[in-house]
Amino acid sequence: MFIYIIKRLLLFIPTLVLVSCIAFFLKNNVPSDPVETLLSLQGVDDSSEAFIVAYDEKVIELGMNLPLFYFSIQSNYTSWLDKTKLESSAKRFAKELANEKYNVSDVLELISLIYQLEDKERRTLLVCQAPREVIERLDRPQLDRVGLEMKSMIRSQVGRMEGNKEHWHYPVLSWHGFENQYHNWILNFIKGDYGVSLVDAQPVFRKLWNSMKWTLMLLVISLTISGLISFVLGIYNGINQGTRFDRWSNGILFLFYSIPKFWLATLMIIFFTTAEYGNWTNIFSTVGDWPRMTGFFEMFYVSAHKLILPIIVIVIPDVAYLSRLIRASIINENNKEYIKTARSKGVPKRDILRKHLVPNSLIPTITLFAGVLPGALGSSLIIEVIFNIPGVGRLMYESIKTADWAIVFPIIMIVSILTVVIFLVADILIAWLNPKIKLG
Amino acid sequence: MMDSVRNMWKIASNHGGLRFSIIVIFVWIIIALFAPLLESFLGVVFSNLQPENSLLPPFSKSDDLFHVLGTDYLGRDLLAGMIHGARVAFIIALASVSISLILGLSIGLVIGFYGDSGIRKNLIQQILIYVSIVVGVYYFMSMVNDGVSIYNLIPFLGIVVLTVGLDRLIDKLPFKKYGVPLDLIMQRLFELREGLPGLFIILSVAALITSQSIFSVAIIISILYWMTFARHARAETLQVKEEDYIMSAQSSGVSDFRLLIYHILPNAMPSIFVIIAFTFGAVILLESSLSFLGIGMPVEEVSWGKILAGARKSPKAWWLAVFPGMAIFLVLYAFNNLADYFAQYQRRNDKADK
Repeated sequence: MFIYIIKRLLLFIPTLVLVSCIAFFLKNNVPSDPVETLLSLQGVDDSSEAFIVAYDEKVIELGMNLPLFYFSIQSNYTSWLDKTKLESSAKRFAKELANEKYNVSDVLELISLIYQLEDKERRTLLVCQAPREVIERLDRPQLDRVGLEMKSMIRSQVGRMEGNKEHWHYPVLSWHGFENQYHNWILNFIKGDYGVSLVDAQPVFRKLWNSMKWTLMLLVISLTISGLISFVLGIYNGINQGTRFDRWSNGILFLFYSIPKFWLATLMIIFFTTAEYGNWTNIFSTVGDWPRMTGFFEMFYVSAHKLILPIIVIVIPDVAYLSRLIRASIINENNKEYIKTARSKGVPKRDILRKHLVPNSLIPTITLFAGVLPGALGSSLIIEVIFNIPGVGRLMYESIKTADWAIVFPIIMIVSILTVVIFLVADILIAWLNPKIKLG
Repeated sequence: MMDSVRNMWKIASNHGGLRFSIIVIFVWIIIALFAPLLESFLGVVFSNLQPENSLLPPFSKSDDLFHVLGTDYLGRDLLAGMIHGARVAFIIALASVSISLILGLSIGLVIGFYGDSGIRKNLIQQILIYVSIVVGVYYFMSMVNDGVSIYNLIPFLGIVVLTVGLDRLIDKLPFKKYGVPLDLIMQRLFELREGLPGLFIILSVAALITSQSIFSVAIIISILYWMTFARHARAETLQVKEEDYIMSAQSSGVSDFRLLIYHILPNAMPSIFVIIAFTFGAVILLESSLSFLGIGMPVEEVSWGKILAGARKSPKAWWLAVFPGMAIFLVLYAFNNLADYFAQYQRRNDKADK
């Protein structure tokens, strides 16, 4: 048993590494620049001279000047960039040019020319994205103090570069070691340092933890209720297979199984929270804002009545799914020989049910129950958005809407860890309950 | 052909609600295919905004039009919106199911048939193949990013030709051969998929994409769903592979390709049908969830989920909540029912075989 758990835990690591790679890859492809957003949150104006200095400092502070991953496969015209020791603004400039396939030594020469200028003037030139832009900027009033000779040198260098572009390219594999962004990111993730939100500069960890409580509570309550109902209903229908109640309830449950949860939620909100359709119809409280309180239990005490409707909405389709599965499992077990034997030798119906039928048919349903949970996390996202519950789903939704990518990827990581852990627990539980399964 | 259709229809009558489901799916497809014709025939247009006709109840008349299902907040006809939504749902579902079916089926068949030791290559061949995959992907990405030019097309084609040629050549050398672990790699991928929160990933990827269209949504969905097909195709292939007639076909010199297409695929199909029907339902649910949340779907595209989301803003307008939701529900029910029927049918056949 112990070895089995250890084995499963070890298998769990590569999955998590891959998930984190996916999250990291997505994180680096967001359309907005997180450094810029963070600086504007700190009140640094992005048109000021100080911005470029502050930007460079922030990039180094966040470690974003480091290579992305342990190794990289790049074109020959960009791979040399990681080895050069340039300031980050010069590096950015060099990268822009390298992506345009300019020759390496030409780019370095142009940069060394620009570095002979004074600080302010250099910065004006280094924000350019193409050599042509450099020439245009040379005529600007900020660069009046630059000597004519220098200007002509830069111009001729740019002219040489245009004719010297590289065309053929090939991939280069380079190894970066542990000094890379992914390594730092994943270490910080394990330590619980998730950075700050790009909207209100709050620590992501605290935001996530606060909303996680609500989602977990919602899931635990609704799964307990739906588990109990479907347990009773499934077993009752399974042993009374073919009766009128079984046929009808089974048909109705199949209908409920196909109801989209967001439709059910919308209908419930429209018909049962307002007085639009008669005086009695506003039986549930409306979906309003949740009070801003610090304590979880305090908040729960105040807003618990708002959870009734969402729980109903989650429970109905889940019961439809689970009870049908439990029913099928009971029927399958009921037709087996040992049950027939027990019945024919006169074991009381009650004992057959309690000692043989239910325990044996419930073991396979554990996996099914575990399979409901990841789906439940997904559907709780929509439910939380509709009912305004401050859970992880709504946090995710709002972060996407406000482009707060610093929260989105930790959420994906946490939710996948949760999913994998649930499957792990289910597997271990089955192995523990069913002695027939060989471990190892 | 007609006979088999009639036969299917006869079987359908024995299964609760199956005839109804088939009718629902049929009507949905007809509406989706002829949506523009239907809209002009009924004289309804969704695109024209008439704020003065905002939130008219069903069976009401505006200046020149009769609104059978009422209008939405901007005064657009709901019936036209429903017809358009049927088309959007159909395009996304068809596109993503066909992409995932083709991808999943071919990969599933191959990994099921060859396993970890079916394709044997010596060490040099394996290194050659892995390196050229990396280099090939590099030039392919260059084509995608910078556009196709001779500077990436010629190296790409060169790599492909060189690899195939060298592989044939080295194959004749007397080195020890090892199996290519196709199955192992794919199994790890499926495990990874199991740990991924589907809706969360789709939401964030859909929001990241800059050029949003219904096809980009379909592609994102199929990236996650092809694995379901691949997993089932693999399992079926593993089972069918052991049958006697496959063995005898193999020993009589039928080529691997022919064996896969003409002998294994037809036998794997019944269980794939279950997944097709089931995935159709799942994709429609996913598409409507996405458009309900307003993420990933292009702004100008009208879909059932989007109309339903509009109902939340005006609780008085029950028709905005009831009709689009009903449409999603009916199509979903129909496909779930179909999947259930296919599964039962297959189980019965399996029992009959034994």
